[in-house]
Amino acid sequence: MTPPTPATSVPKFVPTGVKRLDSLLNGGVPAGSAVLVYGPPFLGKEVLARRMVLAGLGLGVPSVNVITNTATADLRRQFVASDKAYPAHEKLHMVRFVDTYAKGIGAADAFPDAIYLDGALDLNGLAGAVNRMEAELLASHAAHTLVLDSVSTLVAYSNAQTAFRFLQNLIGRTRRAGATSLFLMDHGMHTPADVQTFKHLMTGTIEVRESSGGHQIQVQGLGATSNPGWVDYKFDERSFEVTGSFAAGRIR
Amino acid sequence: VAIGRRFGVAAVDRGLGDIPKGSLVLVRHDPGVEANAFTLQAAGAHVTQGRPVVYAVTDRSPTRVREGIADHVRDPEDSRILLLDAHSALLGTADKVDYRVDDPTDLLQVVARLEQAARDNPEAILVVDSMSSLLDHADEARFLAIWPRILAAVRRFQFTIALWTSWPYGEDVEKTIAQADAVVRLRAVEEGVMLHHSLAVERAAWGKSPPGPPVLYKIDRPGGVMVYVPKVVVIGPAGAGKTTFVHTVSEKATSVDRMGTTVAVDRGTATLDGIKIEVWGTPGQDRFDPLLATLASQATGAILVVDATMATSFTRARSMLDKVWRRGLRAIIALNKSDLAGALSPEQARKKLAAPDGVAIVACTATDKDSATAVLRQLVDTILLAPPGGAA
Repeated sequence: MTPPTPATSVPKFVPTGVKRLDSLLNGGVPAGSAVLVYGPPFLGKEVLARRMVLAGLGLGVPSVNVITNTATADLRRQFVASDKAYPAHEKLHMVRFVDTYAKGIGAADAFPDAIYLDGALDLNGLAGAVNRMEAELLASHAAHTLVLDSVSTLVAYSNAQTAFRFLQNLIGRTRRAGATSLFLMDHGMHTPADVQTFKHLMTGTIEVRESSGGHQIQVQGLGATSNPGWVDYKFDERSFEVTGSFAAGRIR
Repeated sequence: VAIGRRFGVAAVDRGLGDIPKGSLVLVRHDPGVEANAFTLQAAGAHVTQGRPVVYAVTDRSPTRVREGIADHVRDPEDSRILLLDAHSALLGTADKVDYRVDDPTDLLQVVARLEQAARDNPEAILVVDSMSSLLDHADEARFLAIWPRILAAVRRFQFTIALWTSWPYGEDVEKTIAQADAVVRLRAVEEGVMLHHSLAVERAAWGKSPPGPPVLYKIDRPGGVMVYVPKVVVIGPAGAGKTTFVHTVSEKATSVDRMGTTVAVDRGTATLDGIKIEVWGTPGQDRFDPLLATLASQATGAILVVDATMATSFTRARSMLDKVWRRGLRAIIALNKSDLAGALSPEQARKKLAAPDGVAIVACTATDKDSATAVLRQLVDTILLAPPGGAA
């Protein structure tokens, strides 16, 4: 059922916060997408995810961050370091965390907008916690972003089949709830067949790789150019910038 | 109250009755539903009455389970909770437990520990929280291969309550799980996010048939599982027939009436297939709109009554629907006076009302019990039985 008078209007795109990636995507990630962000570790996947969360927040789109290998306190510090406006969003309860990591290392602080779980094995609890955060956001916002960092940890704790069943359920539901989601997954930890299976759950893929002189990014699906190919980018802790050139022709 | 052979949660006991020795009761629930609230409460109820409980935990810390049961126990120190830990080893942690599984991915080890616990505690009931995550730790093929031994082991307890998350498993797994002696079903009524939860005893090998209808519940803290009566609010323009509708569907109804127009609220109670429903009628004049919003915020469903012969009232009707609409309020439109000459058909009315997709329009005669009840039933079915994805 579509409410005739939604609390806020639903944007068509959620910008990635990376200007040239947005033009590659013809405006941003189409609202409601489930995107696999795939590539080797340490190539800035998390930075890209943070850019999108912050860009969304800037437009009034709240965010649920599901983290399995960073503590809430650390991710919050990174958000603060990346964007001066960030604390204001927290004050409005627009940033939520579901944290399966902090308790295990004794770092679960009492941040009120976080749910701390015992570990990444309680997938039913995880589904319930994500749902609770989304339900709270949906009371006042029609759309939100969701980042799950990472799929690889879920697979490592259980197995690919179990993580797949979990994601199949989660993606179906969160898309109905109006989420635009990024699912981070590390190259080198999974069989090619498993990666393919996870890709099939998604509406698109953003892939990163190392190239001779640096890093490259490629977008598949998501209304991007039919075959944009690999494009150079650079990143540091706070910024992510597409530097390479790509064809201007886009699918409308 | 002695719970003896009962499940241990009143809302479930009603449908399940006494559980025969050696039975397996499966609590099947949609992903994300907090089903362990049922098992923690049941375990607490049993240990409070001196019955030992073996609690097998598979997906979180046994300490958390101990704390969860303690909320439902009078004297936590004195209760006989025996923890079987098929979780900690996966994280490399060690909680103080009675039975530890060194490798929870090895289901033979799990079975061996279950058998040992049954030998040591012949008077105990067993809780498996959860059976599906035992499968998740291994895989479908290994789970299916070992299932007969799991079933044999759990049958050695007084009885067993096992949670089962309805992840998208294969057909063979579903068939195997159907071997449980009784199934309690917990569903989330959701529209992207879960809005309401319903519970129903789906079947019991020993019970009356058919078992009870689904009821809505919530988890109170403290208190545990609480069943609540769904509220339906009846809205519509003045003169559409709301008061008539409320009185027709209700066994008992009261109205505050002044000069033939409802200025306060009509309130009735209807019973449908054993489910009790509160029905609230609201005044149609726009000066009462604030009251409308308040009632709607407490309701689970709304019926918009419109006069099929009076299309001029549709703008007002539609604006009332917009006023009460919020996420989670299921709605249906009752096209009253459909038996009169000049009445619009549901299709014509849908167009004129610009009714949102997913809101059904049903022709009805508010003075006719069957006709009005059919509208209420269709709405309640949407609330209680909506599949994931709702009516979207």
